[in-house]
Amino acid sequence: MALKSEERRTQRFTFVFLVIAAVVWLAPMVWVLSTSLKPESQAISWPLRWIPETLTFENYFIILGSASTPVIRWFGNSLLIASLHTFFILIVDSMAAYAYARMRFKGRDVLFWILMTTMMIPPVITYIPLYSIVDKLGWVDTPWAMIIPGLGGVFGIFLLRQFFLGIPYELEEAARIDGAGAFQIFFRIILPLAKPALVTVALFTFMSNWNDFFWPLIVTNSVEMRTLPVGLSILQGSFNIQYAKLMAATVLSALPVLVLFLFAQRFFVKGATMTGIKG
Amino acid sequence: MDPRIEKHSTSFTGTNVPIGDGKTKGSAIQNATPYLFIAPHLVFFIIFLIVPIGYGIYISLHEWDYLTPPEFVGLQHYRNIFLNPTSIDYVEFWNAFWNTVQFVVFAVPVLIVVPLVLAVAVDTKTWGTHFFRAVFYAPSLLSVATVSLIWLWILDTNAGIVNFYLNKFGGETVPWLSKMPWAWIALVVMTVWWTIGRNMIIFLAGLQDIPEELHEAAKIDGAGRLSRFFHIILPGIRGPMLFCVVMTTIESFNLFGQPYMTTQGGPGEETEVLMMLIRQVGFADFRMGSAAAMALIMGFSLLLISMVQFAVMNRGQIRGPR
Amino acid sequence: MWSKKWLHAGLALLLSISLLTACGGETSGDSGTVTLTFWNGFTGPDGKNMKEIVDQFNKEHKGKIHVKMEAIPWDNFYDKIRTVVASGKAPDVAAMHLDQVPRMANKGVLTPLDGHLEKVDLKKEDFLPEVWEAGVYEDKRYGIPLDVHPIGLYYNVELLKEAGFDKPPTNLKEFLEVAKATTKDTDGDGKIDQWGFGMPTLWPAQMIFFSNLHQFGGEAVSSDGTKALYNSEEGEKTLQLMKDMIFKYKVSPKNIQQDGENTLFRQGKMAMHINGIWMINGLKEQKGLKFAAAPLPQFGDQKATWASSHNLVLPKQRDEDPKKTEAAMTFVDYVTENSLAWAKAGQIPARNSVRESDEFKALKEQSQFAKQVDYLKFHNPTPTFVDVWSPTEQAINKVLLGQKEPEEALNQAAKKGEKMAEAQK
Repeated sequence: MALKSEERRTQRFTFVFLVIAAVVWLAPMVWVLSTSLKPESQAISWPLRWIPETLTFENYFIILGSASTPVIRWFGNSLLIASLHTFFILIVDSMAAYAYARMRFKGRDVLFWILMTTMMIPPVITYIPLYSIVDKLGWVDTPWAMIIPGLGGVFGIFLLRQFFLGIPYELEEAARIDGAGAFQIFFRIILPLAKPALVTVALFTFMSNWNDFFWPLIVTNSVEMRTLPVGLSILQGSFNIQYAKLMAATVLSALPVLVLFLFAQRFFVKGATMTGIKG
Repeated sequence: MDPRIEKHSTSFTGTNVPIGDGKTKGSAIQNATPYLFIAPHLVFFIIFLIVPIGYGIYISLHEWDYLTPPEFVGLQHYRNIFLNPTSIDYVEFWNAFWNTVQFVVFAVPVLIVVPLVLAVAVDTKTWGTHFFRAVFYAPSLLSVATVSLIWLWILDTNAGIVNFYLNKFGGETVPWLSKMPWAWIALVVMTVWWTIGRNMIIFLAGLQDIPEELHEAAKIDGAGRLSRFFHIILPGIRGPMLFCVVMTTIESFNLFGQPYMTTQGGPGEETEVLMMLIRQVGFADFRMGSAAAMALIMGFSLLLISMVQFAVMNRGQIRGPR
Repeated sequence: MWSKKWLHAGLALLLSISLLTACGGETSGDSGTVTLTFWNGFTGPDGKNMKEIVDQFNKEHKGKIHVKMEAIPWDNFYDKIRTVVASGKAPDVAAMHLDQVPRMANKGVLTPLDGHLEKVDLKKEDFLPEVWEAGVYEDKRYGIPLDVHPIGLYYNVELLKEAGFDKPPTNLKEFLEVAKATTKDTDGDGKIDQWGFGMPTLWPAQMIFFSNLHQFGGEAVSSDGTKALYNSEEGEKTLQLMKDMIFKYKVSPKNIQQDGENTLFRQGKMAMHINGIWMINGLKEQKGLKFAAAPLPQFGDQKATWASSHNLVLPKQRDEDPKKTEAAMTFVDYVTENSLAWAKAGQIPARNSVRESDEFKALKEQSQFAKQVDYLKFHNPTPTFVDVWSPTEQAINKVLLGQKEPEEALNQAAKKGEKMAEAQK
């Protein structure tokens, strides 16, 4: 009986704590949304109001209509760059991971060890030389600068290899007896089986590319080539302290990811768990 | 070192099916197959990871302004950074280095404790835990630019909501982004709001792996809540803890976007962190050699720190209870 | 099956990205039109005004010259310009600040304009002498001044009237009178909530310091651009006065964040505000704010006001095309001649003919700023001025936050600045 009542107290206490924490966590988002719906001159006036006195969408129209800050174009850039990068990563990494997991070849262990060691090397070391390389390839201010260099990474290989190691060998055996080649086995049997792992890798690759800030800031020049995060930092300058407009832009940048999260929550949570636990 | 690597090394020579093994079929094509599989990645790996590392070392040994050809200066940049307190490199690097260390020291404990507390709370049998989990995780999906803009507005000295409520309840106006120690506090606060989701989820998974019987047994033994936390929960999540501490430290060291967009390194140069300095020296002052040397030193410090963390926490594991 | 679907999706993406990159590099074909790219840092509302001029130019030169404008935030712009010149992708025309012209010329980023000036009617006599001279580095001309942009005083007409003033202050005594009278607690809760002045602790504090330093007879940087002169008695006096506005006269709030004084002014909670001429249109957008502009009050013994100037330059090309150079010069001439539209963005035209026109004089706020043209002070045109000068920003910041004394802060800044200049060589 004592245990039961203690449990109930814990339950109630925790709930209250969680509600308070959630309010703190959500307040900034609500406040941003509210600001974005106010006319500029009301946004900075005190006393402040949570519910806009005058409700207006003009900030959104201004942000979307400004030729010098093409938010929609930036959104498109980010989407395309992150998608392509993810697509390439999936192909390149899954092939390599499969070989490292299931094939025996000369130099495999040494190679794999080298790959894993580089996982420890912080990317900061490579930024300066990488810029120069990308510049020599003529990729500065093109999407390729943000799509290709990241393909040298090893995190995806690491995750996928772990997964491939767990696939039963009988499946491959059976296919081989039927006369299937290595590529056929890989594309027809292994890849479809690896769907959950691929989704995780895809999600993480996509998100980290989508949110990357430092590298796109350095390798893009023109307004049309910016990605959404870098574009936002430009907007900060163009609409200096015009907070209502800045917050409209903030909402526009946050909305797609949050909506995606709403629908794919399961994958995100599972993915985050996988990257951590497998460690 | 890295448990991820360690786990692997055990399976390196483990179970393998010999595809492309010379013994099954002797043809050259078969032998080439594995290499065809790894080739695409290997090409990118070499061009965009291995070559840059070597090239970075090369640049760090030269004076290079990006326009005229590099001029060999040997270890001069390193000497300046480590030994010459009158050089600009020394002054700037160590300022940024200690600023970064300061942030790591302030931020990492908070970035571990807050998510752990939230994870324990969300793991409790109570109402709406899925909802709460989503709420705490959602900000980590936003980009650093979005997060910085949000907090720039919230923490505005004269028009921000935080100061509004402070004033309303009799407090003084706080210069959140323009004076110490507020600027660090602001940076830690926005980083906590932004990033705790990942650590929380990882802790949560760790918590769920702890067998229920352990909790029950402890309860029957009459262990209090605190005692259970220290004797069952903490030892039970050592793996996730190690991962979180190391990753969070590395990420905190790489701090860039938040100060770049909100404090711009100020007040004075007190929140100018290493990544900002390296960008400034490399891509604004065009002292590419100095910047490359700074980046290498930063990289190796990071490597060293993660290795020490692994060593310390692994030793704890051997001596720990259980 | 599943993988095939993804393959298709990927191919579709590839296709769309090639479209994306393609529309960046429009080719003009062989119709004889020369296409020029024009880089500048006008990312704010001023970008719209510049775009209008460019569009007008394109209309008038249809079939001959087409200019494509690219606005990049200034910080970023100066970082990028060097790398694009190095990789042979430089824009044909660019705008940059006058203190950057010698810096870039020294690094070989710019093309000398001598020999091209005669073809268009760009003449020395038509420009402010000090600005015109600033475009010369080592006997070669690199920049053509487009405008002059000084700082000045903005004041809230209603708040001044309320306190019994119908004119803006012109000297220190008047300034303090007005500032003290307008600093008050309006709601009686014991806390000041309306300020006479807002002393910025960050940008543009440096420009206020530069102006007052010269007013007190000081100098910023030696004429060869290697030695700091701001860590002088005059420098300390200037910085002390700025600090006193906050801590002694208490007419300015403490710890103002970046642009915080601007927010306060727009909120109607601050009577006077020192900022650049480029703020005019931003302030006009604030509904309910009645403000006016005036020349900077004179705090020291002589008149002096900080100003800078946008210069039009031709970045160095890997393969120079005389046709493009000629077209570029035509464009430069056109823009400076038609700078009235540009003046509306919050600028003073560098060309005398435009500045003295009735149309310019009709711009109320701009012409107030223009009253200062005879005593404007510019950064000296040397490659390393910026290096020696820039650490003053942090020094001023520290002093105005009350964390350092002027003497120590300025000496530290001078030491650092001289080292930075040395590292640039």
